[in-house]
Amino acid sequence: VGELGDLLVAVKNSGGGMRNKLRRVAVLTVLVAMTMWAPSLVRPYPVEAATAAKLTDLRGIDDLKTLFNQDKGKVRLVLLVSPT
Amino acid sequence: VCVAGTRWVQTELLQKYPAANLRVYAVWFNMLASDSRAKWLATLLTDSRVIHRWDEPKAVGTWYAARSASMRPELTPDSTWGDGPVLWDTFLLYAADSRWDDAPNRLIHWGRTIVAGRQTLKSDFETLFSTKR
Repeated sequence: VGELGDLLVAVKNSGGGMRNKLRRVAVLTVLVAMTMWAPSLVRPYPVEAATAAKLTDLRGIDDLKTLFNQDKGKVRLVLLVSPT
Repeated sequence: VCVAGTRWVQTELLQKYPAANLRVYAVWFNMLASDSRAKWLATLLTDSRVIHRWDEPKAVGTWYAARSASMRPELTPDSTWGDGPVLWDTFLLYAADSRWDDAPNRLIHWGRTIVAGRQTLKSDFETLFSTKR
């Protein structure tokens, strides 16, 4: 208690300069703690941000054929899959 | 089963070859009693090179099943296909110069299930995109 009292007296006697330094240290400490313990608060999205996938109706086999030929020049991978 | 296969495509192929000049068509349809459009997971195949289509009448699976005999030479060694009415849980990989007239040509390999044929698909990606990792 005595040491804390001495510190407070020193802060009081040093004027605004010491107080500002302590405030900066406190803010920095809080920011470091947030980054370490609650990264989602600092970075509210995953690093590997996912593209929002969109599902639309296929309008028959010709729909796929059109897409397929539009993408000529690319390797193409067709997946025939069920949702579960 | 399809979920495991598509997740493998996302993590082992698309994420590992981000620069590959590739297009993926994911054609979804009901095959199991538990399937429904509402159970489609938007978080499964998230790569921007993937186009998702819902095929309620199973038109694509039926179309491919009818042509599976002619594609038999390109079936991966680990795959099994018993000539059913609807082809599903399947991948089909086509070369960049493939064109679809009556049917798509230049089929490299197809596999069923996706998980069963994955080693061949992985090997094909290594051959096609070795500089695109």
